[in-house]
Amino acid sequence: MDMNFVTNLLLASVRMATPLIFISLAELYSQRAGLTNIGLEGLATIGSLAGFMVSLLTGSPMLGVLAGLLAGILVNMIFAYATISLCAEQIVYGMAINIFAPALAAFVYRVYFGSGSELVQVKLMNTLSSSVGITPSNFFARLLLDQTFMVYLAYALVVFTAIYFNRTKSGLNYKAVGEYPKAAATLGIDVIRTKYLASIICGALAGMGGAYLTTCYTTTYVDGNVAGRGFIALAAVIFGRWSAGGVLLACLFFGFCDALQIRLQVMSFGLPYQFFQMIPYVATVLVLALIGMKKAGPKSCGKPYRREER
Amino acid sequence: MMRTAETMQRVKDIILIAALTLLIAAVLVLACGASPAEAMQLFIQGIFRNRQSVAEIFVKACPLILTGVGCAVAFQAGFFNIGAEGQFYLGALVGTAVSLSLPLQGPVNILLALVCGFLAGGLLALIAALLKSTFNISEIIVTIMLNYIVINFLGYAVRTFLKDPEGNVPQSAKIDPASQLLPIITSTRFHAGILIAIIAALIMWFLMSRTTIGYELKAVGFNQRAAQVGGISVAKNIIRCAFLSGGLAGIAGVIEVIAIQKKLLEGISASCGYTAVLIALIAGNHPLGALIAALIYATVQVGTGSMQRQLGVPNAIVNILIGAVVLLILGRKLLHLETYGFLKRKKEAK
Repeated sequence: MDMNFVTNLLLASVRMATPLIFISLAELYSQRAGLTNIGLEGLATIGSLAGFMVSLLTGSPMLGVLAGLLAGILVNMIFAYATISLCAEQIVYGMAINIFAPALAAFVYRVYFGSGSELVQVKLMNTLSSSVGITPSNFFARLLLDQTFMVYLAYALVVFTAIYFNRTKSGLNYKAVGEYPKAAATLGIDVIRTKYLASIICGALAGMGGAYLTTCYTTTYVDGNVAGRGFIALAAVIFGRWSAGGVLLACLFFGFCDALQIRLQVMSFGLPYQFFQMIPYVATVLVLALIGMKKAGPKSCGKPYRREER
Repeated sequence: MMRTAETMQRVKDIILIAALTLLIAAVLVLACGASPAEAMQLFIQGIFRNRQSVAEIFVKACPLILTGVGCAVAFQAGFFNIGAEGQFYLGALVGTAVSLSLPLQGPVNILLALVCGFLAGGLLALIAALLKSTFNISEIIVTIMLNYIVINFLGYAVRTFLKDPEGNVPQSAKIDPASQLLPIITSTRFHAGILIAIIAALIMWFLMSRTTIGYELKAVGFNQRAAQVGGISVAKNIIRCAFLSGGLAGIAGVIEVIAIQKKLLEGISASCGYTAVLIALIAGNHPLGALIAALIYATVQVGTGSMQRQLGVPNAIVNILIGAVVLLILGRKLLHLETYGFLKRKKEAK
């Protein structure tokens, strides 16, 4: 194993972690307001298709990301309305999004591009170094400069989220909604509005995470390209103990596992790569079993909030 | 009297939902640039073309019935089993391993494969149930994580210890013909496993509505604290329903292998474990409702299959429609005006 392998692996880990960061932050914002949204897979899929189509039509990956954001919000509004206003079961409607949204994406793709086998490709987003016109040579320069806008945005969002939830009044109010909505309401916090806001943020971030896949990662859209990242993100939120920093570390770790697993598959070391694919899930179950649910996560998660109920 | 009014309301709802779903389907067909009338014709022709196509409905419904009924039972007891997918695959894996490793072939082999598949699926669900009942850890997260653990393990199995030694593709050796569940209606794929699925749905219905076991499960699902105070063990019932629910999904996996695929390979569930969640919701968590909902879903699948072949309407339409139905079921409450507070108060005032 030479140095090149290690640097490439680490750089790939950062690339793999980026969509996870977006989607995990989406879930973090959702759960912090007491909404367990397991429909991330669906939201990311629709975001990835919207990102692909818009960046194809306009030639601008940035507009693609914006489209992914909007598509994510739009689809998540279904979940929001069902679970917040109609107090429906969050798990079932999350699953409904997971089945409905990818089917919609597949349908739109087939109708728009036909069922021909011709592969439509888009231009990917430029990295900072290539848009400035330099080619970084050493590892740290590549790590810091050879990244797309989305990567910087992801880390900026992590910092913002950490500050927001821990250092601002608004963030503490937001968390109160996820912990104990009735108490939050008596303090004058608009619980319903916070939950809708959470759903908008969740849809936007999950949609952007999906759009990352078609604007920064691969040049084409295929069905199932989200490939379970929605569920890994769910795992990352738990593994990261519901804090922005923890989520970031979890995503980097899972991104590393993913990057390593792909290399093992290609190079066929004889090591079973499936076990590396399992790591995020095994780690999450272990963390839950070891630490228990008592200290785990916002307390009102999964429970509907009915204002008139005493 | 009250009851008939409720039933009437329900029938009206179902008709309304069906009509709206049909409308959405028509819009989707139009979006593809095809004529809805022609699509409808092909849809019906596709279903009733011949005995094979009718049998195909049952073939497609079989795994959905088992996983759907399993989810319905678990949901009624308040155990959110999202792990039917993983339980299906573990059942399929263990069933295949048993079937291939037993020296004797024939009915005994089939029976053992089914029993072991049931146990495997049940035990997998039991992990989540134990974590929930002892540490109060969300079964939703654990079952989702277990799904992916099992799917990856299956990927490993079909490349290593279960791999067909004579082949180069990641799949197991073929199940001995004597140990397969053969078609019971000639020249169709209608196999004995379908009868198992239907019988399982009937047994679960009987269990849930006519026995104390079912009563206890429902009591726990309805109000855990009340059940506990009433002397019903919550932990015991959660474990019981999880085992049953996982076991049914496990059987579905075994049947898919020994009746349809005749070998173990990746991706054979076609996400039926996830669709099952919606089937259970549409059925109102009623086992016989799940049977019917699975059959309807499979019918639409077969019909749209023919639409896809002849008109190029993507069969993803099935899952768009099931999503729409799930939303309409919820929206139904909006159509009943009495859910609005002010109307309710007016009624009470009268």
